Amino acid sequence: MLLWFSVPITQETPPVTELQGVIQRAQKRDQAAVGELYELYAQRIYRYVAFRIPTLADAEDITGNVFLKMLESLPTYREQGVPFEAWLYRIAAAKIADFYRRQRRRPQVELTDTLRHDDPLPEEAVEDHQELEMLRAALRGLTEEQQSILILRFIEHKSHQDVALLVGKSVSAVKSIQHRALTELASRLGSKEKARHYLRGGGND
Amino acid sequence: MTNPTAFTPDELADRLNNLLENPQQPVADPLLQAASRLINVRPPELSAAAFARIQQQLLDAAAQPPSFTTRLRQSPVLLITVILISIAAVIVMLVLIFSVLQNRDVVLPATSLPETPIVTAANQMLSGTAVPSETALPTVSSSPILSVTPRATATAVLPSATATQPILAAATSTPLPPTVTQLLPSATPMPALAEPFTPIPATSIHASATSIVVNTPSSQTDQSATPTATRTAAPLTTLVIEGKIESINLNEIVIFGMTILLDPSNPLLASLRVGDEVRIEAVVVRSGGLIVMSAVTVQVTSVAVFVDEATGAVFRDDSDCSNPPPAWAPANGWRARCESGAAPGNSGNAPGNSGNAPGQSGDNPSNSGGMGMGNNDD
Repeated sequence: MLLWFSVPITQETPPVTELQGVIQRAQKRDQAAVGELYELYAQRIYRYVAFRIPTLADAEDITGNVFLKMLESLPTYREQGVPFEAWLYRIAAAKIADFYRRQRRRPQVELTDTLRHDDPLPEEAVEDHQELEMLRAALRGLTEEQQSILILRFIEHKSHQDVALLVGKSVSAVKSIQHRALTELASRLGSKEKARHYLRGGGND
Repeated sequence: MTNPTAFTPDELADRLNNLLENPQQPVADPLLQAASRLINVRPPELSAAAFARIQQQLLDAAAQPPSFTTRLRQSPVLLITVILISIAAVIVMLVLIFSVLQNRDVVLPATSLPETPIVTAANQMLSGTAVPSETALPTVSSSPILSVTPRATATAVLPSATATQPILAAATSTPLPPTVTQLLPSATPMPALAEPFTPIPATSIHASATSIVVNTPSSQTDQSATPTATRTAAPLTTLVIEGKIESINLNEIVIFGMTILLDPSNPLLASLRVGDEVRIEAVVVRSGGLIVMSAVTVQVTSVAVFVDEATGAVFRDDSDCSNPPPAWAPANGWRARCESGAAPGNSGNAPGNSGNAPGQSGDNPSNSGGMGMGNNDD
């Protein structure tokens, strides 16, 4: 359990049979099993949410809600050839949709995470942070489907087959969506780069 | 806008696979550049504090027993049971509400009230009116609001044919003739009905006993000035009933099975007979747990009945020669019929004999000079 937590990005899904056992125990509210599932998927779900939500604080809250919902809905979960992870991503997508629905009702001023950091950061960290924020902002301009596929493909490093399984589409459909999504993302990133270039006083070069 | 890439989706997919295997390789295509930036960005990670906080929340929630809704979802049998119970509860509630609404139109069973003529009458008449389950009227004699409107022309006002059915009519706005109020006995004040009655044509007021028209008066009777059955009595409605008296019990008379209270001190009460056709204007009042019909005006339509305002004496003209009219009462041809040799007990009227010829002044008790004029008996 702790092994997965200590290496969050490289967490590997355990063998299916082992995972099924954990899920079955979690369905009976076995705390250890619930903890295992959380440790296994927490960072993945958080990353998925964080790229789709403007603020990281909201992303944390939504991640917590996703796992509470998982606990609540586990008794009804049935293994039907779809990975457990896909089920969790669907819960996360639903929570994200809820978040934007609530935000439409109560619009709030977006507080970028840059403003949350009071301490000065090293230049490299600042650049990394700016790059992350730029990518997150550009991604949020895409459709929900495009966002999901790009995040799973390039943040989670999933294969086309895995992505197809997770989003419930064919591999060719995933490739087409990926093509359109990257075209749109490149366009958005190019515009932002140009804007940033002008802000820096780059002129017409 | 970025220049469109020359890659097809499949070609792009292959190149992206290569890029994922070697993320640091330089790429020129804008789509591959965008993908490369995503691959190489340092993604946000859940901080250790946040991770632990969420984990604690989750484990705390796992330690709690599942909520009822969760258990419902887990157990289809329980869910179906709850749904069925809910449906049954809703049905029961609807039935209760419906029955309550229905009970507004249902009189309480006779066992809950003492079987008095008043109760019987109220139950029969007000089958469409709510009767609260309270106590019955204390005593019959404690009741009613009465007044009598004896009219010499009573028999002529309403055709006798109308007496075969109860004739009920709602109150109208037409005021009563002045004679009615003049004849009211002062000892029995008439309730100040805002909307008194007028006779309405028999063709339009014939009704069966089960179709009593019950209209609530728009303005209330002044109860403080009126003796009522109980202190809580208030007029619910007014109606007009016309029919034969079926029975008389003290001050209660029954017409078509409906018991109506008359003022015990009403002088007319003594002259009423079973079989008399009367026209009664009654108010219906709620008295405690009962609905009581209390007569306001009484007219005898089958025979002429006269009341002396001064003394309260009553003369009932049965066309019986043995019962001469008193000095204060109109003779209506009695002398012409009975004082010209007719034997006592003989009505003295041959068929078709009206008793009074046109222009005869026999109504004047002091005038006997008109005897024989136009009288076929002579």
